[in-house]
Amino acid sequence: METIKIETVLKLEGLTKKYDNQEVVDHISLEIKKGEIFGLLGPNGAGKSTTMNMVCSLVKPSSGNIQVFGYDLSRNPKEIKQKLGYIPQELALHGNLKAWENVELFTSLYGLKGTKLKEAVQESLEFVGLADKKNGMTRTFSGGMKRRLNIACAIGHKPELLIFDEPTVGIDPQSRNFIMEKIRYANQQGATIIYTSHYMEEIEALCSRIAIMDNGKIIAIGTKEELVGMVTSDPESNMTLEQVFLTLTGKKLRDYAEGEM
Amino acid sequence: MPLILIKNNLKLMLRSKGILLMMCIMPVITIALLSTAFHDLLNSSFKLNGFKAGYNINEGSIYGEYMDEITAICKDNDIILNAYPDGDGEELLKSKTVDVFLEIDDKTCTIYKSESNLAEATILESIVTGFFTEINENITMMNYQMENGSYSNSGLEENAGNIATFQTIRLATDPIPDSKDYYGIIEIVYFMWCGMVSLASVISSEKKNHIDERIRISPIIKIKTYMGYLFPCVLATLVEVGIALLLSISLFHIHWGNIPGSFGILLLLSIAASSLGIVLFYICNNTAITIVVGWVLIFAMGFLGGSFQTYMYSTIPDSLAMLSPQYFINRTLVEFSTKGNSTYALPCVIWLGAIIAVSITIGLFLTDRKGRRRAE
Repeated sequence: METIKIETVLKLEGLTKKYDNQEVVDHISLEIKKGEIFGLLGPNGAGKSTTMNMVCSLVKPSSGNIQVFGYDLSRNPKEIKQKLGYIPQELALHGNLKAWENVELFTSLYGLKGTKLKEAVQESLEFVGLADKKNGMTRTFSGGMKRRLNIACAIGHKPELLIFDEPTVGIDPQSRNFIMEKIRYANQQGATIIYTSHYMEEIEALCSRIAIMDNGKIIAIGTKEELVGMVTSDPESNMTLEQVFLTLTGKKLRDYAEGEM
Repeated sequence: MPLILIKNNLKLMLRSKGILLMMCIMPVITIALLSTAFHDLLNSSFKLNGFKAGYNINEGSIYGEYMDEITAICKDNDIILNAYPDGDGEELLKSKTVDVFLEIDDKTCTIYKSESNLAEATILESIVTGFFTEINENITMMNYQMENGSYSNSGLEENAGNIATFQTIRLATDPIPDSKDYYGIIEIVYFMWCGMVSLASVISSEKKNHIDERIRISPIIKIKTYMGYLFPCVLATLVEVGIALLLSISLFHIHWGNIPGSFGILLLLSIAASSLGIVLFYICNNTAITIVVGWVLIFAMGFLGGSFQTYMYSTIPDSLAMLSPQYFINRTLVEFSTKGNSTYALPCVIWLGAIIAVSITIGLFLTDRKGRRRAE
């Protein structure tokens, strides 16, 4: 397999997804560089999750091209999957397994065995601060513990690209702070992060670049300062990311039912 | 081999207390209920009271001197055999003086029997035929030895050269199991089919908790995902039904006879049940509906195949019963218990092999199709 020197971790070109002739993702193109923490923002139904699902091979694109670490997703899905970690918004855990069993199960799907697997499980549990609770039955865990375990299950194989889909929904501030710190730590260790959230302050605090999606399109992309610059020419402006977001996407409520996006 | 996936899915199956309890206890309860309910019906078939028989024999018949011996054997079997030198068989039967009558000359042995005493006649025929056959064999041997000059006196020489040829009737009767053995075996078979329900604890947890997405974004290949369902289900079924089987043996002293053969059939059965279960779960795509459909299917197979009645008195026509694999599995295992072998074993293995091959092929196809459809 020919490998190229990789600076661009993720490259989307004209990516489109249609459901019943409705384009929920409409010809989006973007590049994410190695070592970035990239934030993806958008109102409900903007197409963020569909885009991330296409990157993770959960959804097949209608057209366009996805390259991850220089590999074409349509041709080399196995190589890409090996380097990718996905932390879904939903808690994807077996309640009737112990914490370490869940991590072991999902890490083993990436081909780890024996001592390597044991070490990976232990490291993942330590990373999320659950090493001392590893024998606890998952169904008995609090929401915050489950969120952390959800992360541990996705990082055992040491992915180089981590995709977080709203990882802090419904948890207490301490757990949220812990998760944010760990995301930063993972980034310092060399992982590239894609982070989607509705919490503007999280995106603002974490991400080096941010893309705002609406109606299936990327309507703005850049650093926070660059995004502010798109909505005001006042260099002294103290606009928050939320104000920028609302200015760009409008204040109209975005109600949609399942299957509409 | 995805051992970790298999191990953890097996843990999920065995930690499902409701299913575990049902699979371990229900067979024992069913065996107790059915074997008690059908106890009299099954066991009456080989309980016979003593009866009276008579005979007359031609004067000078070579068998005359052995009649005392036959009478003694009959007595040991609760049969009173009396001589009626001038007796007419038909009249003695009509007057119910005897239940069966034998008329013996040098060439033939005629048995008089009435419609109401067929079983008694069969038993007496079996005793007499067996005894006379042995005498004939001895005489034949003596003739051979006399011709070769190696004969030593046995007292049979006066009958040499005067051998009657007896028609021996071999009855095609099989040993019959008692009700505990019978239901102890076929209810284990029935509940082994139900082993497919163990899949529910894994599949419903995967659906409820979006585990499916985690599996699909991993590089694991489809065949390993499939093995992650099949192998734990087979093992869980063997463990659960194995516990039920041991409980039933210790409580009811069930006799399985040919143990390696029976284990082989049960192993094939657990693979067939698990692979069929996976297909049903994929097709129905809903745990509750799958359980209902699976239960109806298993019940229908059991009903046709004789799981709820004694197959010796089955009211289901054989042509219909043979549509159910249960028919062959039940007979194979019951005959393994009573005879140690069975002519049904081959069709039984073919049936189970066919179910396994077809279900695994469809299951693998559906595993692949499910992944592709979800991505679209």
